[in-house]
Amino acid sequence: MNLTRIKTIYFKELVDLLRDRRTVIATIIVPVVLYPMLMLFSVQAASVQTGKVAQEQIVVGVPSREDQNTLIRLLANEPTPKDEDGQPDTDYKPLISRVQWVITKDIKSAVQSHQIGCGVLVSKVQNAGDPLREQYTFELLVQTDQIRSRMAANRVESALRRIGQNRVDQRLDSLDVSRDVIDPFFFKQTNLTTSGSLLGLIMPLLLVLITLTSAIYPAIDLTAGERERGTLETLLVCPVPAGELVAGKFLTVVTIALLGAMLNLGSVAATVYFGGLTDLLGAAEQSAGDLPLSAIPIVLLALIPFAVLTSAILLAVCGFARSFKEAQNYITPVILATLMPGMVANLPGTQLQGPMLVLPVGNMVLLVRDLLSGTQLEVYQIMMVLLSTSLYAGGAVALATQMFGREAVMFSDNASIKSLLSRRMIRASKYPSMGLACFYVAMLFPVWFYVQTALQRKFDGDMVNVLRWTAVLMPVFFAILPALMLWYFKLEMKPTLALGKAAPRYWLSGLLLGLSMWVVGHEIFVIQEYILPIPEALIQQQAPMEALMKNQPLWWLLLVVAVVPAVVEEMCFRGMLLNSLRANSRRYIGLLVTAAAFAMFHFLVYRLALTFVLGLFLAYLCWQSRSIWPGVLAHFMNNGFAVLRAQYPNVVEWIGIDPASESKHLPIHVIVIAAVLVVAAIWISRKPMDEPQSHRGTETSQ
Amino acid sequence: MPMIHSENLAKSFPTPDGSQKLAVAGLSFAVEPGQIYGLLGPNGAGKTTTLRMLCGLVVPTSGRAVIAGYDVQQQPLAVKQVLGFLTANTGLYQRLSVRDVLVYFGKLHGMTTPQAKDRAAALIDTFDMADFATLRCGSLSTGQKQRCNIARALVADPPALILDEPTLGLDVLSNRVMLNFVRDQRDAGKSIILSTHYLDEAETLCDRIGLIHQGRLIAEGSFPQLQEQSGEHRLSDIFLKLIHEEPVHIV
Ligand SMILES: Nc1ncnc2c1ncn2[C@@H]1O[C@H](COP(=O)(O)OP(=O)(O)OP(=O)(O)O)[C@@H](O)[C@H]1O
Ligand SMILES: [Mg+2]
Repeated sequence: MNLTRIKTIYFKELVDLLRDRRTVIATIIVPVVLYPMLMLFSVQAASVQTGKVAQEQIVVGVPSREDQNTLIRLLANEPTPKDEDGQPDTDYKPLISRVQWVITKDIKSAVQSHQIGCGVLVSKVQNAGDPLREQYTFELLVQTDQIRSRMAANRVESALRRIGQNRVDQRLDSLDVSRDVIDPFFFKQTNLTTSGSLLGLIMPLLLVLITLTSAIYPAIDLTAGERERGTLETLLVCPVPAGELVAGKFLTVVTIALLGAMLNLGSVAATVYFGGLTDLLGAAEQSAGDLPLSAIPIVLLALIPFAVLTSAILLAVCGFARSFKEAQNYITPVILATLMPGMVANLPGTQLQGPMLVLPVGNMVLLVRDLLSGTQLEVYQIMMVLLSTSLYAGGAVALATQMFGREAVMFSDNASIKSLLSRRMIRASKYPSMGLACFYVAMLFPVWFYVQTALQRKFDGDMVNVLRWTAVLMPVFFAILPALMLWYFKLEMKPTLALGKAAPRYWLSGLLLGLSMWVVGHEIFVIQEYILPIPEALIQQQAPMEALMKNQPLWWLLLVVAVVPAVVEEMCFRGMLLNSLRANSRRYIGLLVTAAAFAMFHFLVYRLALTFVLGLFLAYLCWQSRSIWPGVLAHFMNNGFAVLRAQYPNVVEWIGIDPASESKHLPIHVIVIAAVLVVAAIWISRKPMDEPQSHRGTETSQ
Repeated sequence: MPMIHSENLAKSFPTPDGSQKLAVAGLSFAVEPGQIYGLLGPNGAGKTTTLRMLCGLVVPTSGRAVIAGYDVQQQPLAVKQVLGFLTANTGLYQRLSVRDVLVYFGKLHGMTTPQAKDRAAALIDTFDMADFATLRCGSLSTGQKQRCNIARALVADPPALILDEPTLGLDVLSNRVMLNFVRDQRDAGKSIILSTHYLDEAETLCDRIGLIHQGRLIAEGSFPQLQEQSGEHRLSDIFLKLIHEEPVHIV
């Protein structure tokens, strides 16, 4: 990656976009001018309309003149409503003066055809005519989705209720009883809803929507638009790797998305403030002053991951399109697909836990909601959301890079866009492209998380079964599916999964690392305790697992905890992922990316550092040797040690370790020996294995 | 060692009915420094596809191309560094000025900003573009655009030029500018490969001519050689004759 060049591309694209009238209109003019106007106008129109309806005559339908007379007689004594201070409302006009009566047998259809506002049926009359004893049951026929009908029914009901209350008072008076006697309880509710929780309900989805809409135009313009205008071809014959072009364009889209989103939010906020709309938005109880102000920093920060994710997704999708029009067609379903998890997450009562932690888009929605409403969050929750979001965004950018400038997108008709995925059209090559491998790993992440969660749910604490099924499913997702994918894309299985033999020196390295890695892991864990102590609850959760490690047969534990994960994780991470990076990046990048992905698949923040470092060792081993097997050995030994430690505490004690405590430093001699072994292992493998000659071309489909 | 060189270059495209269409069927040719190689052929002969394969825009189904010693598939970036590419429908960034475009492409070819600016100024001078150098490309005439495009292709002063119908749609004047430019570049020792449908242009301009038909090279040589081979005087007659007699004249 050449940062200067990415910067050049970034600034050029930014200037180019900002000089475009359409960008300016879509991202600046619309939010700044149009939104407030529309919002003010529609809100005012609504209130004008409501006011107008309130002034209209109320049309009430009754089945007979007799019922009409009864109602008129009752309504004649309608008391004037009182306000909160007990003062009569002087503007109030009695209902009787506003009603227009309609007598019809079929009240139901009269309401439904909007001929009358509401219908009133008087049934069950007792002691009619005696003010102190008469009783009526009224049935109101109303169509609540019609404002006229609803208002008519409300007016009639509230008038009748007030008359009823009046009657109660009269009757109590006649019995010489005080009104208080029949009201044993009084209620007063204090609403603690804060502006945050109110905002939290609408803001997260609003953010998704806003960043999406702001990113759409630049995403299309910089990909399909560029192709349509004939400039993409020129760009592609420049000596710049596709990854850098995409990176520059991606940053541009993110910038415009952020800019647009901020303007949108600012504009909405200003409209709410200055337009005096807080009341209408139902926030009347809060002092308007604390409405969005306190939330602004959180919202602004949260915008960034949203903008990153949506821009990445849009760029990837638009990369498939060959024209503006086509891109627009692709985008509608994508917006829906993006909003869907967001809406699912936004359902009331959803919590940022379990599967929700890694639900793309949904997890961000929940995080922002909780931050705004002041819900207490754990560090690991925030980390999980941010890390998985970065992973998804990375996957999408990788896909975009993969598609960028591809021949089938650049020069083809409709027939061959389908051929992009049609196996017959795929050119065989040795290694998968970085985009393909990263995309698979990014997609596998939530899937594997859901599989794990589902297993935990299904067996509910029965760790034996959880482990058994994990061991069965792991090969499916980490080896068989990747192998199928490799087959489909005509990639060579053996070099990609690094299944070839390793030279003896690498085996020796693997052995040494196998002997020493657990010490490194242990020390990392202990040091981490100082910074990031493991919560008690989590330790409790681990208890069944530890018990199981002591009680199950050794061979079984070694199989499910050590053999299976060692083999299949090496295939997936050190095999497919690392080898796809081998062709396109330097060694240190390959190692870092692989180790990071490997660490994230362990799902626990507390294991991130540990698994990351072990992942680095294993990746180094495979990069140097071009074979996963030494790594499998080291991985197996490392996991196997955990089993042995649990099963034979005595052995551990013999080396000088207190088996009861996980959180103490190991004796210095153990650390020194381990350090020597690690250094020796790295030194022995310092010379990388040459690429074996292959009968096909060595290039990758870049 | 030729500057541009291809071996059995072939490309097939999928067709909607599921079969394969062989657009280029094994082309081998070489272009030396200081030479203009004309790739001629009827519509759909496979010229554009061939030139795109030379630039690395299209991946060949088989065969390979080498430019300045770099394999197009193996070292695409090195190849792109030594390559100037120009077609009739190459677009320019509508909202950037001529100068901005030149500076941008200079930087993409690895120049620093001052270097790119100097280079842009020199090119603006060479191609007499000072009058419109600060105008946005969207407002230029076809001829002005073409000049800007030529300058763009020359930003990194590449030793190899690939031109796909560079004179398409130009008037006499702009056409002259273009042809002079091509000659100047040849005289400066560049290797140029160009496709065109203007045969009289090719007669006078090209040092070597390759006639392709249905993806195959059916004749190759200098204009006099082709005249001799076919017994015809005008290139257009040679062209028609060879195409109709094909495959008798396969070289
Ligand atoms: N991307 C593509 N997908 C499918 N077929 C293609 C594609 N590009 C070119 N072809 C086919 O390959 C053949 C050669 O096309 P090409 O554009 O190379 O011809 P050309 O010699 O440049 O023609 P012209 O003189 O018209 O420019 C044509 O039959 C064309 O239909
Ligand atoms: Mg052509």
